[in-house]
Amino acid sequence: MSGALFLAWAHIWHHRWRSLILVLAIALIVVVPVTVSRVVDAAEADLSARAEATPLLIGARGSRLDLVMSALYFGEDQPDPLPYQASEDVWDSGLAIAIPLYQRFYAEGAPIIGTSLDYFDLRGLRIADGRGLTVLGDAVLGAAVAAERGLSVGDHILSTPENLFDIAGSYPLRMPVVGVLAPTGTPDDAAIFVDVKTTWVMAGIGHGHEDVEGGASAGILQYAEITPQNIDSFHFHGDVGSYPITAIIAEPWDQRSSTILKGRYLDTSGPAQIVDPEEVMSGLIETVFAIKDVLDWVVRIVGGAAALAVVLALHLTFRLRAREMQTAFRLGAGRFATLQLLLAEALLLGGAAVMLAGAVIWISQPYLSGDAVQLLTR
Amino acid sequence: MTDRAMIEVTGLALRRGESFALAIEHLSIPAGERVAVVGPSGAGKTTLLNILSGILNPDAGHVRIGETAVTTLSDRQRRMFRARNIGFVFQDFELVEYLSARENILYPYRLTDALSITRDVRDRAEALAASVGLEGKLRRKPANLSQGEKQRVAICRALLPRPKLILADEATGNLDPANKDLILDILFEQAQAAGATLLAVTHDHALLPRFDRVINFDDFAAVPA
Amino acid sequence: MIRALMIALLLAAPAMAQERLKVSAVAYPLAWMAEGIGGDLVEVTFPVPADADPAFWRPNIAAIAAFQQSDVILLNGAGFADWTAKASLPRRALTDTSAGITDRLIETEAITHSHGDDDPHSHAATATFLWLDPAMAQAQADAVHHALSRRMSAGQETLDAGHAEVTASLTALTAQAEAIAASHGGTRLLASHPRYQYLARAARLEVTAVSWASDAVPDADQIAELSALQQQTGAAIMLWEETPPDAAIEAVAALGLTSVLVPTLANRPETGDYATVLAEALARLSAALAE
Repeated sequence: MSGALFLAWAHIWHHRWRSLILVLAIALIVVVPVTVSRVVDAAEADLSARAEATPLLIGARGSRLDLVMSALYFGEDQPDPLPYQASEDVWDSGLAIAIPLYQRFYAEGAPIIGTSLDYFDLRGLRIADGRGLTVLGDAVLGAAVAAERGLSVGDHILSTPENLFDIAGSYPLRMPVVGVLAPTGTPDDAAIFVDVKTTWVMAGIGHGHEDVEGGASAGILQYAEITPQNIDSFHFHGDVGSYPITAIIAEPWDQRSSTILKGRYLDTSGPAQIVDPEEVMSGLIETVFAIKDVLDWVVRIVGGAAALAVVLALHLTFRLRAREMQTAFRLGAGRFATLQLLLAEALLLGGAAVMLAGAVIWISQPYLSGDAVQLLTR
Repeated sequence: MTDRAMIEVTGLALRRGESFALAIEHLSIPAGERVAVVGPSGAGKTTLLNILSGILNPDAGHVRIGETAVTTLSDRQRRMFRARNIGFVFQDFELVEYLSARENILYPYRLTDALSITRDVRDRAEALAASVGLEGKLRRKPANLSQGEKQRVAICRALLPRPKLILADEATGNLDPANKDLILDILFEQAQAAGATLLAVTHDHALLPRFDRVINFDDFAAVPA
Repeated sequence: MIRALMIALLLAAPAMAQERLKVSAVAYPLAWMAEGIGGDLVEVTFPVPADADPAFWRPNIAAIAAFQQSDVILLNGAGFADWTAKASLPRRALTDTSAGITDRLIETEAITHSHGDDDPHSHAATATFLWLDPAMAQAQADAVHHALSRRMSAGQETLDAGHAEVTASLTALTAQAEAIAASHGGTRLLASHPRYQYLARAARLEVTAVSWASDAVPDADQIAELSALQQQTGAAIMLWEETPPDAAIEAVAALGLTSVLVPTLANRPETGDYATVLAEALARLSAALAE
C-alpha cells in the first residue's frame, strides 16, 4: 500500500492545481451543508434560550414578532411606544416584576437600551470593569461594544442625534462610560445600557438648564451632558407615567400571577398586548426549520450534483490512466494494485478535503452562534 | 544454464474463437541469445511475448523460462514471476508521465510486493542510468526527455530487477535511425552485462543482421481465420 | 416528617435571624417607621448626615451604591429627595410610601422657568413634609408595613406587632393634632420656613411662612416683611424648625410673636424619636395657643 500511496501522492502533486480544485470542491460539498445546519441549529438554540429566559413581554399592540425581536435582540424595528405607567401598573398589580425597556437611540452604532437595574438581575449581567448604573447619564457597555470600539471605563460616548436640525429639544447626550459588562454571548454584548430616565433626557423630556455644550455658533454640533454641576437642574416635565417606553419585561411571581396578568391584556381593544416570547419564538423557529427543510433539499441536490461532478472528474482521470494501469499490469502489478492506486488517491484527496472542511468549520465556530441570529433577525 | 535452453516452448496453442491465433510446435532459445522476431502484423508476435511473460495463458502446451514452468503457475505466481524475471521494453516507452526519470526506473518496485526498494536497488538504478547516459536527467519528467532518452529510461526500468529475459516489442519503432542503432546498442550491451536473453519483436529488417538469430513467424503454422 | 420539618426550621431560625432585611430610607420618619415595624428583623439605614437637609441632600456614588444594595428603599414621594429621580435604583426595592395618598398631597405655588428662547413653563410643586400630619404618617406607616411584609418570608407576627405599636403612637399624635384643631382651629400662625402645610391642615391652623435661615438673626428687611405679614394675619405665634438665636427670638417678640419650636423631623433628632419629638412640639404649640 505504501507504493500505492507514493504513486498516488506523486500523481496528485504532478496535477497539483487540478487536485487543489478537487479538494476545494469536495471540501465545499462537506462544509456547506454542515455550516448551514449549524447556523440554523445555533440560531435555534440562541433564539429559544433567549426566549426562555424572558418570561413575558408587554408592548403596544402590533406585530408580536417585532415586539419580541426588539425587546430580546434590540432589532431596528421598534414597536409603537407605550406609556411608562404600563410598567408601574404591572408593579402595582403585585403580579410580576416589571422591567421597562426603551430603545430608540444609538451611540457608536450600538443600540442604547434604557432600562432599570432589574434588567441586569434578570439577565444575570455582571460588571467586569467599573461600576453599574448609578446616576442619570451613566452608561454601561456590553462587552462587544467596548471591545469593538476600544472603549473603556472613563471614556465618553455621544448619542446619535435623531435629527441634526431637531432644535426642539433633544440634543445628543454625552455620557460617561462607567462600566463594562462581562461577555455573555447574547445580544446584551452588543448594546449600551443606561437608565430609562437617561433615555428620556435624550428624548428631550427631561432636561437641565444651560446644559448644552459645544459652543453657541450655529453649525457646530451641540450636545448635552449631565455633570455633577448641572445634575440638580435636570428635571422632567409632566407625568412620569406618560413617558415612552418600547416594551416591558414582566417576570411573574408564580404561575397563577402569570395567568392573571395575561388575562389583563386579553381585551384586544386595549393599547397593550402581552406575549410569551417562547411561544412567539417557537413560531419563528418553526419557520426557520421550514426554511431549513427547503435549504436541506437544495443543499442535498446541489451537493449531490457536485459529488457526481467530482466522481465524473475522478472517473475521467482514471480513464486517462487506463494505459498506465495496463503497463502496470504488464510490469507485474496485481489485479488489485490498480484499484489500490485509485483508492489511495481518493483517500488522499478525500482526506485533505475533509481536513480542510474540518478546519474551516472549526475556525468559523466562534462566529456562527453570534452572527447566526443576526442573519435571521436582520 | 548453458546446456539447457532459457526458453523452451512445446505444443503451444492459443485459440481465438474456432481458430488458432497462435500455434507453435516447438521453440527453444538458449540463454544469452539475442533473438529477433519478425512477421506480418497480426501474426501473433506480441501474443507470443504475452504468453512467455505469463500475461496470457495458452490453451495448450508448455512454456518454460529458465527453471520455471510458467504454464503451471497460478495467476498470482505468474505475476510475481513476471515482476522478477521479465523485463519489458515497449514501442511507446510506456513511461509514467507524473514520475521523474528516476522514479520511472523504480516504478515496478512501487507496484508489487515481489520487489522491494533497498539502498542497493537505488544505487544500481543510478549506475544503470549513468551507464546509458542519463546522468543529470533523472529528475526530469518524461515530458522533458527526448524520445531516445525516454527509451533509455524504459530500458533501465526493464533491467533494474535483473530479469533473465528481456522482451522488447518494437522497442526502436518510434525512434529516428540514429537513435535506433544507439538504443539497440544499449539494449544489447545491457542484456549482455546482465546475462539476460533478449527477444525483440521488430519490423525493421535493417536491424536483423545484428541479432544472433531471427525467428520468422511465417515459419509457424499460423492458421488464418 | 412534620417533626423533621420543625427541627429543620428551628435549626434554620438563627441563620435566618442573621439575614436581616436591608431597608434604606430617604427621610428620618420613614426610618423610624421601619425600625418600629421591623424591629430586629430589619437593618435600617438612613444615610443622611446629621447636618444635612434630607430634602436637598445629594448622595455620592458610594451612598447610591449602598441604596442599590437594599432590599427595600423607602421613598417619601411628593418629590422629596429629588436625587432619587436622578439615580438608578432597583425598582423591585422601591416603595413610594405616599403612592396611595396622592389625592391628599398639598400643592404649593408653581415654580416657573424657561429654557433659552422657549416659552416659560411651570412645574407644579408639592409640599413634602407629609409626616407632620400624623394621619398622613399613618398611611406611610401602612405602606412600610406592607412593603416589609411582602419581602419577608417569616416574622409576620413581629411586623404586625411593630405596626400596631407605631399605629398607637401615631394615633396619639393624631389625637393631639385634632385637639388643637378643636380648640384653636382657624388660628393664624407665622413660620420661619414653608414646611408646615400638613401640620397646619391636621390641626386646622393657617400658617403663613417666610423663608429664613434658622441659624441667622433676621435683618431689617426680613423683620419688615414679617411685620407686614403679622399685621395682615394677626398671628401671635411664630413656628421655628430649629431653636433660633436669642436675638431672633427677641426680634420677633418685639412684633408680639411668641416663638415655638416645631422640628420638621426630616433628619434624625439629637434626642428622642419622631413620636416623642412631635408630641412635645404639639404640646408646646398647644400651650402657646392656649395663652
